[in-house]
Amino acid sequence: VTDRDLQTSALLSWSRDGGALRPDRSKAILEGLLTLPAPKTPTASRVSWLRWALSGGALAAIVALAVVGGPAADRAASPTDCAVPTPPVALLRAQVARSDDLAERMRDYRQDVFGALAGCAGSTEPSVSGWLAMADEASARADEALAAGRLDDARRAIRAIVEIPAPGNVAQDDARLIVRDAAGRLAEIELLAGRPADALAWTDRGLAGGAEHDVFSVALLVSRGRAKEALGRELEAVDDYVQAQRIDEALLERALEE
Amino acid sequence: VQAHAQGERLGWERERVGRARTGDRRAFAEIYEAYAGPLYARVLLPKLGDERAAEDALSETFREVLEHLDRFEDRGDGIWPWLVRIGTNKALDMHRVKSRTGRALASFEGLMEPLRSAPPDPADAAEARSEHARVRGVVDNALAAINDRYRRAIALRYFEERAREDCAREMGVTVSTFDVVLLRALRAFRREWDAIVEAQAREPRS
Repeated sequence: VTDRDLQTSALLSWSRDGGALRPDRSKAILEGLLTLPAPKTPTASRVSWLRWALSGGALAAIVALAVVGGPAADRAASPTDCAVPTPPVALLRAQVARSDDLAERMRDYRQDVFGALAGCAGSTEPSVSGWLAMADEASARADEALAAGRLDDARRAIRAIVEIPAPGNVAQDDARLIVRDAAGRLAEIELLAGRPADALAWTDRGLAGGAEHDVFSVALLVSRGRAKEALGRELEAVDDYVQAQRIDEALLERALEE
Repeated sequence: VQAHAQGERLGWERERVGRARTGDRRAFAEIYEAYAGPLYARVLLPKLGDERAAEDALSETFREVLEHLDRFEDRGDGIWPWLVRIGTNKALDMHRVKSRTGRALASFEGLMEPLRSAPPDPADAAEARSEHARVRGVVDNALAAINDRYRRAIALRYFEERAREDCAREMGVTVSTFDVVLLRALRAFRREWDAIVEAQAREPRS
Protein backbone atom coordinates (compact mmCIF):
# COMPACT_ATOMS: atom_id res chain seq x y z
CA VAL A 1 0.00 0.00 0.00
CA THR A 2 1.59 3.27 -1.12
CA ASP A 3 1.09 6.84 0.09
CA ARG A 4 -0.98 7.36 -3.03
CA ASP A 5 -3.32 4.52 -1.98
CA LEU A 6 -3.59 5.98 1.51
CA GLN A 7 -4.49 9.38 0.03
CA THR A 8 -7.21 7.80 -2.10
CA SER A 9 -8.54 5.84 0.84
CA ALA A 10 -8.65 8.95 3.05
CA LEU A 11 -10.37 10.97 0.33
CA LEU A 12 -13.08 8.33 -0.03
CA SER A 13 -13.65 8.27 3.73
CA TRP A 14 -13.88 12.07 3.78
CA SER A 15 -16.35 12.08 0.89
CA ARG A 16 -18.78 10.00 2.95
CA ASP A 17 -19.79 12.87 5.26
CA GLY A 18 -17.46 15.78 4.52
CA GLY A 19 -15.11 14.82 7.37
CA ALA A 20 -17.68 15.33 10.12
CA LEU A 21 -16.16 15.18 13.59
CA ARG A 22 -17.98 12.52 15.59
CA PRO A 23 -19.90 14.16 18.46
CA ASP A 24 -18.67 11.65 21.05
CA ARG A 25 -15.05 12.25 20.03
CA SER A 26 -15.53 16.01 20.01
CA LYS A 27 -17.03 15.86 23.48
CA ALA A 28 -14.20 13.66 24.78
CA ILE A 29 -11.57 16.06 23.42
CA LEU A 30 -13.29 19.06 24.97
CA GLU A 31 -13.62 17.29 28.31
CA GLY A 32 -9.91 16.50 28.19
CA LEU A 33 -9.10 20.13 27.48
CA LEU A 34 -11.26 21.37 30.32
CA THR A 35 -9.36 19.24 32.81
CA LEU A 36 -6.08 20.99 31.97
CA PRO A 37 -4.74 23.37 34.59
CA ALA A 38 -5.82 26.97 34.23
CA PRO A 39 -3.46 28.94 32.01
CA LYS A 40 -1.55 31.80 33.53
CA THR A 41 -2.92 35.26 33.21
CA PRO A 42 -1.27 37.47 30.58
CA THR A 43 0.42 39.43 33.32
CA ALA A 44 2.07 36.35 34.72
CA SER A 45 3.39 35.28 31.32
CA ARG A 46 4.78 38.69 30.65
CA VAL A 47 6.54 38.89 33.97
CA SER A 48 7.99 35.44 33.45
CA TRP A 49 9.25 36.34 29.98
CA LEU A 50 10.71 39.59 31.17
CA ARG A 51 12.45 37.81 33.96
CA TRP A 52 14.55 35.98 31.40
CA ALA A 53 14.77 38.58 28.72
CA LEU A 54 15.90 41.63 30.59
CA SER A 55 19.11 42.58 32.29
CA GLY A 56 19.21 42.80 36.07
CA GLY A 57 18.88 46.59 36.16
CA ALA A 58 15.81 46.73 33.95
CA LEU A 59 14.22 43.85 35.80
CA ALA A 60 14.86 45.51 39.16
CA ALA A 61 13.10 48.61 37.83
CA ILE A 62 10.11 46.55 36.74
CA VAL A 63 9.98 44.75 40.08
CA ALA A 64 10.09 48.13 41.81
CA LEU A 65 7.22 49.35 39.64
CA ALA A 66 5.26 46.22 40.45
CA VAL A 67 5.76 46.83 44.16
CA VAL A 68 4.65 50.46 43.87
CA GLY A 69 1.78 49.48 41.59
CA GLY A 70 0.51 46.90 44.06
CA PRO A 71 -2.22 44.69 42.68
CA ALA A 72 -1.13 45.23 39.06
CA ALA A 73 1.46 42.54 39.64
CA ASP A 74 0.00 39.10 40.17
CA ARG A 75 2.61 38.00 42.64
CA ALA A 76 4.03 39.62 45.71
CA ALA A 77 7.52 40.94 45.33
CA SER A 78 9.60 39.80 48.25
CA PRO A 79 13.10 40.77 49.35
CA THR A 80 14.78 37.98 47.38
CA ASP A 81 12.95 38.79 44.19
CA CYS A 82 15.85 39.60 41.88
CA ALA A 83 17.17 38.58 38.50
CA VAL A 84 17.94 34.97 37.78
CA PRO A 85 21.04 34.82 35.57
CA THR A 86 20.35 34.50 31.86
CA PRO A 87 21.34 31.00 30.75
CA PRO A 88 24.64 31.03 28.84
CA VAL A 89 24.55 30.41 25.11
CA ALA A 90 26.77 27.34 25.56
CA LEU A 91 24.16 25.73 27.81
CA LEU A 92 21.35 26.53 25.37
CA ARG A 93 23.37 25.12 22.49
CA ALA A 94 24.05 22.00 24.55
CA GLN A 95 20.31 21.63 25.23
CA VAL A 96 19.42 22.07 21.57
CA ALA A 97 22.07 19.58 20.49
CA ARG A 98 21.60 17.27 23.50
CA SER A 99 25.38 17.18 23.68
CA ASP A 100 27.42 15.15 26.15
CA ASP A 101 28.43 18.16 28.20
CA LEU A 102 24.81 19.12 28.91
CA ALA A 103 24.74 17.77 32.48
CA GLU A 104 27.95 19.59 33.30
CA ARG A 105 26.75 22.90 31.85
CA MET A 106 23.41 22.54 33.60
CA ARG A 107 25.23 21.96 36.89
CA ASP A 108 27.32 25.11 36.38
CA TYR A 109 24.26 27.17 35.55
CA ARG A 110 22.38 25.78 38.54
CA GLN A 111 25.27 26.92 40.75
CA ASP A 112 25.08 30.38 39.17
CA VAL A 113 21.36 30.52 39.91
CA PHE A 114 21.84 29.51 43.54
CA GLY A 115 24.66 32.03 43.83
CA ALA A 116 22.55 34.83 42.39
CA LEU A 117 19.59 34.07 44.65
CA ALA A 118 21.81 33.87 47.72
CA GLY A 119 23.32 37.24 46.82
CA CYS A 120 20.01 39.04 46.52
CA ALA A 121 18.96 41.64 49.00
CA GLY A 122 16.98 40.02 51.77
CA SER A 123 18.63 36.66 51.43
CA THR A 124 20.53 37.28 54.63
CA GLU A 125 17.35 36.68 56.60
CA PRO A 126 18.02 33.41 58.41
CA SER A 127 14.95 31.57 57.17
CA VAL A 128 15.62 32.54 53.53
CA SER A 129 19.34 31.93 53.56
CA GLY A 130 18.82 28.68 55.45
CA TRP A 131 16.43 27.27 52.89
CA LEU A 132 18.54 28.41 49.95
CA ALA A 133 21.67 26.95 51.53
CA MET A 134 19.85 23.68 52.20
CA ALA A 135 18.76 23.47 48.55
CA ASP A 136 22.25 24.38 47.31
CA GLU A 137 23.93 21.78 49.54
CA ALA A 138 21.40 19.10 48.65
CA SER A 139 21.97 19.79 45.00
CA ALA A 140 25.76 19.52 45.42
CA ARG A 141 25.38 16.25 47.35
CA ALA A 142 23.22 14.89 44.55
CA ASP A 143 25.87 15.86 41.99
CA GLU A 144 28.47 13.88 43.91
CA ALA A 145 26.19 10.90 44.37
CA LEU A 146 25.24 10.84 40.70
CA ALA A 147 28.89 11.05 39.65
CA ALA A 148 29.51 7.97 41.79
CA GLY A 149 26.41 6.19 40.47
CA ARG A 150 24.68 6.23 43.89
CA LEU A 151 21.11 6.85 42.74
CA ASP A 152 19.50 6.29 46.15
CA ASP A 153 21.72 8.92 47.78
CA ALA A 154 21.07 11.36 44.94
CA ARG A 155 17.32 10.80 45.22
CA ARG A 156 17.36 11.31 48.98
CA ALA A 157 19.31 14.55 48.64
CA ILE A 158 17.04 16.10 46.02
CA ARG A 159 13.85 14.98 47.72
CA ALA A 160 14.77 17.20 50.66
CA ILE A 161 14.37 20.22 48.38
CA VAL A 162 10.82 19.35 47.40
CA GLU A 163 9.80 18.11 50.83
CA ILE A 164 11.05 20.99 52.98
CA PRO A 165 8.68 23.86 52.20
CA ALA A 166 10.22 27.19 51.32
CA PRO A 167 9.71 29.84 54.01
CA GLY A 168 7.04 32.37 53.19
CA ASN A 169 9.54 35.14 52.66
CA VAL A 170 11.31 33.38 49.79
CA ALA A 171 9.96 34.86 46.55
CA GLN A 172 7.38 32.51 45.05
CA ASP A 173 9.04 32.49 41.66
CA ASP A 174 12.44 31.71 43.15
CA ALA A 175 11.07 28.86 45.25
CA ARG A 176 9.11 27.49 42.32
CA LEU A 177 12.16 27.62 40.09
CA ILE A 178 14.24 25.66 42.58
CA VAL A 179 11.50 23.09 43.14
CA ARG A 180 10.96 22.72 39.38
CA ASP A 181 14.64 22.07 38.91
CA ALA A 182 14.52 19.52 41.74
CA ALA A 183 11.52 17.79 40.16
CA GLY A 184 13.43 17.59 36.87
CA ARG A 185 16.44 16.10 38.60
CA LEU A 186 14.29 13.54 40.42
CA ALA A 187 12.75 12.57 37.09
CA GLU A 188 16.23 12.04 35.62
CA ILE A 189 17.18 9.89 38.60
CA GLU A 190 14.03 7.76 38.23
CA LEU A 191 14.73 7.33 34.52
CA LEU A 192 18.24 6.15 35.34
CA ALA A 193 16.71 3.80 37.90
CA GLY A 194 14.34 2.39 35.25
CA ARG A 195 11.20 3.78 36.90
CA PRO A 196 9.51 5.80 34.15
CA ALA A 197 6.15 6.03 35.93
CA ASP A 198 7.81 7.75 38.89
CA ALA A 199 9.77 9.95 36.50
CA LEU A 200 6.54 10.93 34.78
CA ALA A 201 4.94 11.85 38.11
CA TRP A 202 7.87 14.17 38.93
CA THR A 203 7.81 15.85 35.55
CA ASP A 204 4.06 16.38 35.78
CA ARG A 205 4.58 17.99 39.14
CA GLY A 206 7.37 20.18 37.79
CA LEU A 207 5.28 21.24 34.82
CA ALA A 208 2.02 21.72 36.70
CA GLY A 209 0.57 25.00 35.51
CA GLY A 210 2.39 24.82 32.17
CA ALA A 211 5.93 25.02 30.90
CA GLU A 212 7.86 28.20 31.62
CA HIS A 213 10.20 29.53 28.96
CA ASP A 214 13.38 28.48 30.70
CA VAL A 215 16.02 25.77 30.67
CA PHE A 216 14.44 23.96 33.62
CA SER A 217 11.19 23.46 31.74
CA VAL A 218 13.14 22.20 28.75
CA ALA A 219 14.83 19.61 30.98
CA LEU A 220 11.45 18.62 32.45
CA LEU A 221 9.83 18.29 29.02
CA VAL A 222 12.66 16.14 27.70
CA SER A 223 12.48 13.89 30.78
CA ARG A 224 8.72 13.67 30.44
CA GLY A 225 9.12 12.67 26.81
CA ARG A 226 11.61 9.96 27.75
CA ALA A 227 9.31 8.68 30.50
CA LYS A 228 6.35 8.54 28.15
CA GLU A 229 8.41 6.78 25.51
CA ALA A 230 9.44 4.20 28.08
CA LEU A 231 5.76 3.74 28.93
CA GLY A 232 4.81 3.21 25.28
CA ARG A 233 3.18 6.63 24.83
CA GLU A 234 5.37 7.61 21.90
CA LEU A 235 3.08 10.13 20.26
CA GLU A 236 2.63 12.11 23.46
CA ALA A 237 6.40 11.94 23.96
CA VAL A 238 6.95 13.55 20.59
CA ASP A 239 4.77 16.48 21.64
CA ASP A 240 6.96 17.06 24.69
CA TYR A 241 10.13 16.90 22.60
CA VAL A 242 8.72 19.35 20.08
CA GLN A 243 7.68 21.77 22.83
CA ALA A 244 11.10 21.49 24.47
CA GLN A 245 12.81 22.14 21.17
CA ARG A 246 10.67 25.21 20.52
CA ILE A 247 11.41 26.74 23.92
CA ASP A 248 15.08 25.94 23.52
CA GLU A 249 15.32 27.51 20.11
CA ALA A 250 13.45 30.61 21.26
CA LEU A 251 15.77 31.00 24.25
CA LEU A 252 18.82 30.51 22.07
CA GLU A 253 17.60 33.01 19.51
CA ARG A 254 16.97 35.55 22.23
CA ALA A 255 20.35 34.94 23.86
CA LEU A 256 22.12 35.35 20.51
CA GLU A 257 20.25 38.59 19.83
CA GLU A 258 21.48 39.95 23.15
CA VAL B 1 -25.61 40.19 4.14
CA GLN B 2 -22.43 38.15 4.25
CA ALA B 3 -20.44 41.10 5.65
CA HIS B 4 -23.11 41.65 8.28
CA ALA B 5 -23.04 37.98 9.25
CA GLN B 6 -19.27 38.05 9.45
CA GLY B 7 -19.35 41.18 11.59
CA GLU B 8 -21.76 39.48 13.97
CA ARG B 9 -19.59 36.40 14.15
CA LEU B 10 -16.48 38.45 14.91
CA GLY B 11 -18.34 40.33 17.64
CA TRP B 12 -19.55 37.06 19.16
CA GLU B 13 -16.06 35.66 18.94
CA ARG B 14 -14.29 38.68 20.47
CA GLU B 15 -16.60 38.58 23.44
CA ARG B 16 -15.79 34.87 24.03
CA VAL B 17 -12.07 35.34 23.49
CA GLY B 18 -12.08 38.19 26.00
CA ARG B 19 -13.84 36.03 28.60
CA ALA B 20 -11.70 32.97 27.85
CA ARG B 21 -8.59 35.08 28.45
CA THR B 22 -9.76 35.74 31.98
CA GLY B 23 -10.06 31.99 32.58
CA ASP B 24 -13.75 31.55 31.70
CA ARG B 25 -13.86 27.90 30.65
CA ARG B 26 -17.42 28.16 29.35
CA ALA B 27 -16.30 30.79 26.85
CA PHE B 28 -13.39 28.59 25.78
CA ALA B 29 -15.80 25.67 25.33
CA GLU B 30 -18.04 27.83 23.13
CA ILE B 31 -15.07 28.76 20.93
CA TYR B 32 -14.16 25.08 20.70
CA GLU B 33 -17.70 24.07 19.80
CA ALA B 34 -17.87 26.71 17.08
CA TYR B 35 -14.54 25.90 15.41
CA ALA B 36 -13.50 22.34 16.30
CA GLY B 37 -15.71 20.77 13.63
CA PRO B 38 -14.65 23.02 10.72
CA LEU B 39 -10.99 22.84 11.75
CA TYR B 40 -11.11 19.05 11.86
CA ALA B 41 -13.11 18.55 8.66
CA ARG B 42 -11.59 21.19 6.44
CA VAL B 43 -8.01 21.53 7.67
CA LEU B 44 -6.72 18.72 9.88
CA LEU B 45 -8.29 15.64 8.32
CA PRO B 46 -7.33 16.65 4.75
CA LYS B 47 -3.77 17.34 5.93
CA LEU B 48 -3.41 14.10 7.88
CA GLY B 49 -5.78 11.63 6.22
CA ASP B 50 -6.20 9.71 9.46
CA GLU B 51 -9.07 10.26 11.86
CA ARG B 52 -7.19 9.46 15.05
CA ALA B 53 -4.26 11.65 14.09
CA ALA B 54 -6.60 14.50 13.15
CA GLU B 55 -8.35 14.17 16.51
CA ASP B 56 -5.00 14.30 18.29
CA ALA B 57 -4.01 17.35 16.26
CA LEU B 58 -7.33 18.99 17.12
CA SER B 59 -6.81 18.37 20.81
CA GLU B 60 -3.25 19.70 20.62
CA THR B 61 -4.36 22.77 18.70
CA PHE B 62 -6.94 23.74 21.29
CA ARG B 63 -4.56 22.92 24.11
CA GLU B 64 -2.19 25.48 22.64
CA VAL B 65 -5.06 27.92 22.25
CA LEU B 66 -5.98 27.45 25.89
CA GLU B 67 -2.40 27.94 27.04
CA HIS B 68 -1.52 30.85 24.79
CA LEU B 69 -4.71 32.75 24.19
CA ASP B 70 -2.97 35.83 25.56
CA ARG B 71 -0.66 35.74 22.50
CA PHE B 72 -3.52 35.90 20.02
CA GLU B 73 -3.61 39.21 18.16
CA ASP B 74 -6.89 40.04 16.49
CA ARG B 75 -6.06 41.56 13.10
CA GLY B 76 -9.66 42.08 12.20
CA ASP B 77 -10.29 38.65 10.72
CA GLY B 78 -10.95 36.80 13.94
CA ILE B 79 -9.46 33.73 15.52
CA TRP B 80 -9.93 31.31 12.59
CA PRO B 81 -6.65 32.15 10.76
CA TRP B 82 -4.78 31.70 14.05
CA LEU B 83 -6.46 28.33 14.64
CA VAL B 84 -5.59 27.22 11.10
CA ARG B 85 -1.97 28.27 11.60
CA ILE B 86 -1.64 26.34 14.86
CA GLY B 87 -3.47 23.32 13.42
CA THR B 88 -1.26 23.34 10.32
CA ASN B 89 1.86 23.37 12.50
CA LYS B 90 0.53 20.46 14.54
CA ALA B 91 -0.18 18.50 11.36
CA LEU B 92 3.31 19.26 10.04
CA ASP B 93 4.83 18.11 13.31
CA MET B 94 2.95 14.83 12.98
CA HIS B 95 4.20 14.31 9.44
CA ARG B 96 7.77 15.05 10.55
CA VAL B 97 7.68 12.30 13.16
CA LYS B 98 5.49 9.79 11.35
CA SER B 99 8.36 7.34 10.82
CA ARG B 100 8.83 7.26 14.59
CA THR B 101 5.17 7.03 15.50
CA GLY B 102 4.35 4.48 12.81
CA ARG B 103 1.18 6.30 11.85
CA ALA B 104 0.02 5.95 8.27
CA LEU B 105 -0.51 9.60 7.38
CA ALA B 106 -1.30 10.82 3.89
CA SER B 107 -2.47 14.32 3.11
CA PHE B 108 -5.23 14.37 0.51
CA GLU B 109 -5.53 18.14 0.57
CA GLY B 110 -3.90 18.32 -2.85
CA LEU B 111 -6.60 16.08 -4.31
CA MET B 112 -9.34 18.44 -3.14
CA GLU B 113 -7.49 21.61 -4.00
CA PRO B 114 -8.74 21.94 -7.61
CA LEU B 115 -12.33 21.70 -6.30
CA ARG B 116 -11.91 24.47 -3.74
CA SER B 117 -12.77 27.97 -4.79
CA ALA B 118 -11.62 29.97 -1.78
CA PRO B 119 -10.04 29.62 1.65
CA PRO B 120 -12.64 27.96 3.86
CA ASP B 121 -14.86 30.21 5.93
CA PRO B 122 -15.53 28.35 9.18
CA ALA B 123 -18.90 29.94 9.74
CA ASP B 124 -20.24 29.24 6.29
CA ALA B 125 -22.01 25.90 6.54
CA ALA B 126 -23.37 26.32 3.01
CA GLU B 127 -19.84 26.62 1.66
CA ALA B 128 -18.83 23.46 3.51
CA ARG B 129 -21.84 21.60 2.12
CA SER B 130 -21.08 22.85 -1.35
CA GLU B 131 -17.46 21.74 -1.13
CA HIS B 132 -18.56 18.32 0.07
CA ALA B 133 -21.08 18.10 -2.76
CA ARG B 134 -18.43 18.98 -5.35
CA VAL B 135 -16.04 16.33 -4.04
CA ARG B 136 -18.81 13.79 -3.75
CA GLY B 137 -19.90 14.55 -7.32
CA VAL B 138 -16.44 13.75 -8.67
CA VAL B 139 -16.26 10.65 -6.45
CA ASP B 140 -19.58 9.40 -7.84
CA ASN B 141 -18.48 10.04 -11.41
CA ALA B 142 -15.21 8.22 -10.85
CA LEU B 143 -17.05 5.30 -9.23
CA ALA B 144 -19.45 5.12 -12.15
CA ALA B 145 -16.49 4.61 -14.47
CA ILE B 146 -14.96 1.61 -12.68
CA ASN B 147 -16.25 -1.97 -12.77
CA ASP B 148 -19.12 -3.10 -10.56
CA ARG B 149 -17.04 -5.36 -8.36
CA TYR B 150 -14.61 -2.59 -7.51
CA ARG B 151 -17.44 -0.12 -6.93
CA ARG B 152 -19.12 -2.58 -4.57
CA ALA B 153 -15.90 -3.10 -2.58
CA ILE B 154 -15.45 0.65 -2.12
CA ALA B 155 -19.08 1.20 -1.17
CA LEU B 156 -19.05 -1.54 1.45
CA ARG B 157 -15.80 -0.43 3.05
CA TYR B 158 -15.96 3.37 2.83
CA PHE B 159 -19.60 4.35 2.64
CA GLU B 160 -21.21 1.60 4.70
CA GLU B 161 -18.13 1.42 6.94
CA ARG B 162 -18.36 -2.35 7.22
CA ALA B 163 -15.58 -4.45 8.76
CA ARG B 164 -13.27 -6.21 6.28
CA GLU B 165 -14.65 -9.60 7.35
CA ASP B 166 -18.21 -8.38 6.64
CA CYS B 167 -17.22 -6.99 3.27
CA ALA B 168 -15.52 -10.27 2.32
CA ARG B 169 -18.58 -12.27 3.37
CA GLU B 170 -20.87 -9.97 1.43
CA MET B 171 -18.76 -10.39 -1.70
CA GLY B 172 -18.32 -14.15 -1.21
CA VAL B 173 -14.50 -14.06 -0.97
CA THR B 174 -11.86 -14.52 1.72
CA VAL B 175 -10.64 -11.51 3.66
CA SER B 176 -7.26 -11.56 1.94
CA THR B 177 -8.95 -11.67 -1.48
CA PHE B 178 -11.15 -8.77 -0.45
CA ASP B 179 -8.04 -6.79 0.55
CA VAL B 180 -6.58 -7.33 -2.93
CA VAL B 181 -9.84 -6.40 -4.63
CA LEU B 182 -10.11 -3.25 -2.53
CA LEU B 183 -6.55 -2.19 -3.33
CA ARG B 184 -7.18 -2.64 -7.05
CA ALA B 185 -10.47 -0.79 -6.67
CA LEU B 186 -8.69 2.14 -5.02
CA ARG B 187 -6.17 2.33 -7.85
CA ALA B 188 -8.84 2.11 -10.53
CA PHE B 189 -10.86 4.81 -8.75
CA ARG B 190 -7.83 7.07 -8.48
CA ARG B 191 -7.09 6.84 -12.20
CA GLU B 192 -10.65 7.94 -12.93
CA TRP B 193 -10.54 10.68 -10.30
CA ASP B 194 -7.33 12.14 -11.75
CA ALA B 195 -8.77 12.02 -15.27
CA ILE B 196 -11.98 13.82 -14.25
CA VAL B 197 -10.22 16.52 -12.23
CA GLU B 198 -7.73 17.08 -15.01
CA ALA B 199 -10.52 17.37 -17.57
CA GLN B 200 -12.36 19.86 -15.34
CA ALA B 201 -9.22 21.96 -14.99
CA ARG B 202 -8.94 22.18 -18.81
CA GLU B 203 -12.53 23.34 -19.20
CA PRO B 204 -12.94 27.12 -19.52
CA ARG B 205 -14.45 28.60 -16.34
CA SER B 206 -17.92 30.05 -16.82
